[in-house]
Amino acid sequence: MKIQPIMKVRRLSIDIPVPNGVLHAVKDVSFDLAKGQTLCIVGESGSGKSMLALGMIGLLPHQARLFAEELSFDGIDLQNLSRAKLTQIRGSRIAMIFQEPMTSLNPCYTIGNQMIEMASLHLKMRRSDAHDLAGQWLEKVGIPAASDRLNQYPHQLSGGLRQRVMIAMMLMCGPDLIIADEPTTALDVTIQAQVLGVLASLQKELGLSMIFITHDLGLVSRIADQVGVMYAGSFVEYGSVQDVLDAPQHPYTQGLLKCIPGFLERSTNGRLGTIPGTVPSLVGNTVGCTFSNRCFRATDECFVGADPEPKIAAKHDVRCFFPGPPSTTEESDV
Amino acid sequence: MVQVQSKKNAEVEVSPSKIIRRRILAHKGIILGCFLLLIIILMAALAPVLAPHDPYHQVLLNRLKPPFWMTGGSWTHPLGTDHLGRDYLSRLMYGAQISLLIGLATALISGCIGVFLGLVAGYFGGRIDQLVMFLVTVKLSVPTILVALAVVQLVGGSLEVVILVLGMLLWHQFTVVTRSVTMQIRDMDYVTSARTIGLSAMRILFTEILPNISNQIIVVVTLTMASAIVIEAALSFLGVGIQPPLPSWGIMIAEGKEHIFFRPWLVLIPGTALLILVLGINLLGDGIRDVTVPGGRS
Amino acid sequence: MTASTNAPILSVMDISHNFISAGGVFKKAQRLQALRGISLDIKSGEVLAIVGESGCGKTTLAKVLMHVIKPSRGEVRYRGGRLADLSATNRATSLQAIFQDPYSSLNPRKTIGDIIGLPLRMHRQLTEKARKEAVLEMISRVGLPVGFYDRFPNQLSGGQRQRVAIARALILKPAVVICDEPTSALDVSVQAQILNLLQDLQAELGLTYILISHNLAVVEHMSSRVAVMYLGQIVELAETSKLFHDPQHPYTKALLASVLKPNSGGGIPEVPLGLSYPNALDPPQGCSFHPRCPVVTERCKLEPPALIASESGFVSCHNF
Repeated sequence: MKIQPIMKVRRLSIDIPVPNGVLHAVKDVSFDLAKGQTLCIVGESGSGKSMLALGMIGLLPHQARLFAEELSFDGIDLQNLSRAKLTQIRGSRIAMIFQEPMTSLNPCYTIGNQMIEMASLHLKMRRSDAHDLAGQWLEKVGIPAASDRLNQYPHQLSGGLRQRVMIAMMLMCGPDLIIADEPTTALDVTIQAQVLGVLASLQKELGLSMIFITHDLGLVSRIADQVGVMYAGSFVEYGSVQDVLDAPQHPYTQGLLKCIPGFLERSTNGRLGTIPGTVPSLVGNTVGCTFSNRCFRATDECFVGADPEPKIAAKHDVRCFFPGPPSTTEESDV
Repeated sequence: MVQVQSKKNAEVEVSPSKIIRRRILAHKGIILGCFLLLIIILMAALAPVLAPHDPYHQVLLNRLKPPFWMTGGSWTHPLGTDHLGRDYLSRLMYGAQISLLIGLATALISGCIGVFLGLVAGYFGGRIDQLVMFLVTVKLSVPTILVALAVVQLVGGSLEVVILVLGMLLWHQFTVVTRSVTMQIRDMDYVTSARTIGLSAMRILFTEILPNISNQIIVVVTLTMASAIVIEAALSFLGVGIQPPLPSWGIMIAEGKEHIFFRPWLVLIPGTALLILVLGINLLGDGIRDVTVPGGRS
Repeated sequence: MTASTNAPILSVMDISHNFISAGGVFKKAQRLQALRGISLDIKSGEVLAIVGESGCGKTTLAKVLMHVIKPSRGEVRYRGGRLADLSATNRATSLQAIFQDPYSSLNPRKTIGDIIGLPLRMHRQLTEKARKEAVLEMISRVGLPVGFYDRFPNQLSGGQRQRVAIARALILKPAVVICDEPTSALDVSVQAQILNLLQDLQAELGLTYILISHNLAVVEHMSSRVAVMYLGQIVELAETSKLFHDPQHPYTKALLASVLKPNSGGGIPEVPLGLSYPNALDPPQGCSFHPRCPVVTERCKLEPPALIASESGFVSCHNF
């Protein structure tokens, strides 16, 4: 019997009208997220990863348009849900953790106030019960002297502590899914390790599913079960983390791994690999594969027709007309 | 390796001035403001050519003639005549020159003073900033119109005196705005880079910082112009600004106020002109502020 | 240039710097000790990396080296002479800087040509034609098309802007370039291009780099020596390979342990640093790291550790 994945997305696209046409921020993204698993969405800036995350829970700017063949969370169709129901699900069943906690936490109110507010709203608790729960959760995320902290304001806390508070606040209401958008990018590296440790252990303890958006492939390799590599709005490669990172089949992923200092064991005479060219404009329709203008193995076929549909290569999905292992000859770099 | 430049790669590269131009043309407030302002500017510019009569020429037999759309009016004096028989349209047109001159000259003088003080206060901080802010506080506690009144009483009213006095009294808005924006910019890396390159502080202020705050300054220029014009009208109305027979709109309103019940046009016409001018300037200023707000990278 | 390769090109001599925030009627003036007794010798031709987390003072140190901040105590020497004694021109032709944020390091109102040409205008007597040629040559050298001469920064991408910043820094052919997080704001693929460019230029022009970064992978890749800073002090200085394979200071060890090196399914490393957060306004007594140190002793709480020489540098720890 196949267990229903907690998140099912089929062919999700997001379009945004801009002065000179339509910007295709996300194109045809599909994935399944099983319960308790972590999906990492990896991409550089402009890849559409944040848009994808916002789109999944209905937080897109009002002029953006989302279409998907399927977008369901635990069987609930998120596309056709009323605003009210969506808002309810957002707080109680899907938690969102952003990069900069200062903007998610209201600087005018104490931590305690905000946490109690959250609990009262979603869990319909009495304030005193909510207060106790807040204290328990602060301890759970590793913040001692919880009662003192509850009376502090966000600016009195360091970045790492604020993120822990965010995690506590979001998990307090017992969600099933966490969507985290670069939650530790703005933190120091030692703090990052600590905060991620807290998140990972809580996830395990509570059996939560997680969609984690980042640009850091090292992070991905450590926490992901599944990974989707995003480029110019689509998943160019998607599969289990071992398959994708140990045996990448798409030239973009291969190029990316070579760019990162220290990622691959070998290094070519001290120089880093590069991906020549720049990301093409996402406005208007593209001809051929979106990556073709930067691809070292592009042939004439790659420049015509539509974007390649995902096909299976090395046990995972790849959007490439010619997926294959990294070439052993040196590609030119700039 | 096949390298074909796909056409989707052709990102439209637009220069910053083009972006601004595009936004200006789309902004209704600016268009309206420009239109109103243009009316007044044309009036002023074309006065010597288009004014039907000499604005100082008194014909007492023709006193208090109504404008052409009322009974008793005629096209010889389209906007009627005042209590001394002078053609109102001509006076209105020459009055536009005076109002615009006041606005621009005052903005220029107060702008120079205010921007300079704001730049040094914002950039150097510390004691200099404290000193400048003290001056601003003092300036703010000074009641503009009363001081203008007093000075004019002492020195005598005239166009030049009014311009100088107002220039000295309206610089604080420039200082406050310039200072705050300078403080935001002074920590930018391109300013630090200029210091590493070895530019002197003054050079940095005028070549690195000033061009980047010109948008905000233009907005203050428009506000100051509007203030100056209205204050001058008030001063002239009170008889302590420009002296008759100069056709300042304020004087025209003053001279018309005795007849306000039976010949309201004497007050309404210059009043409306003032309204159009100030409204136009303010719409333009607001519009420039909207259009140049950062957050529009190409 | 016959300078002996043994004499340091740049010497930091016991630099301390405090930022004083003005007190008011209700608030006492606060003293932020950004730098506390930093001494360092930088050798010609090397890449010295300065790593640390927020609040460690590396940015302040960079500004002191750039001569943008005058330190409260101590001095910087360039080739033996005091940096402060050099004329503006000599300073500009000896030391230049590249900054972190490509979106704020270029004046948005100037063209690329003007931006890169400004140092020439300030310090070299060249005809306009000669200046333009020099700028165009630099533009090509950093890998940009010459057509960019008339463009404005907002028409360039982050990576392209950073190349312009590099061109601007190198146009006067300085000996030392301070790179303050030069690639932190860039995407990984662009970062690789910029790092390659920096390496190529170093070899071509014989530059010395001071690389300030929080990205340890970049540091390991680029640098020859590393100085680890914590709360205004250098806690460890060593050759790169030594530091990464055999760190001595507990903070360095924790830092290296926190780096998420690729390891499929490896999980998050344990970093035993506790919850104490470094506060530069109120640094701890004794060793500044002791509230977070996993091997803290009583002595650490009372006595600040001395700098103990190690193989290729020094370590500031009682347990060394």
